[in-house]
Amino acid sequence: MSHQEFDELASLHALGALDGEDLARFTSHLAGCEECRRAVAEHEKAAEALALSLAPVRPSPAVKEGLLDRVRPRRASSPFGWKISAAACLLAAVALGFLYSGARSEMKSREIEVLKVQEELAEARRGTDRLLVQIRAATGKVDDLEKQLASHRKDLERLARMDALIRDIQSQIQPFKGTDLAKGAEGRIVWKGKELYWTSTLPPLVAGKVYELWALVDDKPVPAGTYDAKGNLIAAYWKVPEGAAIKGFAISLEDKAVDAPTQVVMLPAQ
Amino acid sequence: MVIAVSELLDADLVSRMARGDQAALAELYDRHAPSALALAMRVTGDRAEGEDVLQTVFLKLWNSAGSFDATRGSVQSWILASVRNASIDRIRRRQAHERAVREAPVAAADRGPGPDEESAKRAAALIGSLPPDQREAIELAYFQGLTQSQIAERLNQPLGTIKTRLRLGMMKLREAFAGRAEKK
Repeated sequence: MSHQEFDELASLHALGALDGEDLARFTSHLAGCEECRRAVAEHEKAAEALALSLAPVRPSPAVKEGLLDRVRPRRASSPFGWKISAAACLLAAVALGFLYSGARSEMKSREIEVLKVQEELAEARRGTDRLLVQIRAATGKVDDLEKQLASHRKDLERLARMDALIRDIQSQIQPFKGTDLAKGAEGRIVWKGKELYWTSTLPPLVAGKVYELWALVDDKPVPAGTYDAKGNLIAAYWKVPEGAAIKGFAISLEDKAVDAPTQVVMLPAQ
Repeated sequence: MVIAVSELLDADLVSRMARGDQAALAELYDRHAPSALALAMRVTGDRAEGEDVLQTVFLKLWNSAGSFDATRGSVQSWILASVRNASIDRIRRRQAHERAVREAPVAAADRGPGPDEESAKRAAALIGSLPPDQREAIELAYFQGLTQSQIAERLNQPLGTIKTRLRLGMMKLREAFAGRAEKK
């Protein structure tokens, strides 16, 4: 191979394009040829035009920071450096362990706290339920008591009227005597106009029956309301004409309020 | 000569780096990193890999600054050659030459200053003046690290044709470069 041929290979060698036998021969020649080394250098320099023809690209700031960080001098290590490092690692591990352990312990503690709060909440709910039951029961009792109170007030009013009626000098009194339908039964009635009170030893009413009171006006029975055996008003049914003179009262057993007695059980006693 | 002064300054920075001057490294990095990264990205086809190459090369320069011989070439040449070699090594290792075919997209906002804008323009004009087949063969060798046989296979051309294209193209570049240097 002539030197001219080697000179031609110099350009390819500068590009790194030689291979095979060409590469082997040229590298062998290059070691002893200053001219070819210079030619390669010149071609390499010319090839830089390829790189320099590219539009420059600004690197990320992190690249420079990373580079400078890597060349920054480190602190000189002491003979005990490795021990200190090991101790630091151990401490870090222990600290990490403590942290981990602490975190786990904290987590466990929080779990227990949550369970306690949940239990307290459940107990509070149970307590609330109990209170609601008690309130309902108390409310029922209050209702009952109110009813009793209303009943007692009613009785009291009735007794007050009865007392006033009995004390009234204009009031009239009439004893009752049972008929054959109520043998041995007795009773008494006090009245003044429409105000009246009566009681008896008549047997208690059976279902579907009422005792009807009759005012005797001109010897004729006139409806005066339905009652129970003790003389408590069941339904007002006062048909006595205003100002009519009542001579006395009688009692009959009826299915409901009627205008003419069917089963007379009480008549005025003589 | 302007170029000589510039190279001396670079060489002076390298001398300072040999004495542990980090500021000198930072200055040298600022001067040459943009063009070096452009080359690394052109070869590897990947910005992240290009930046990794860039950092590796400058770190190598820092570590070998004491043995740097300015008489054997400029600092810029050393940096570009190192970046090219390291980048080609990367693509050879991952056997992904196809990625290098694609020119790495460079957003306008990413473009940084080169060592000499005029030089870059002249270089681009110089490369652009080569016949397309010669430029293609040279670029495959320079940017992808392909040998003459590989280029012949890639382009499906006789080996002799590829050798001729490479040689003629390089001769033109050398002449143009020498002429430019003489003008300076």
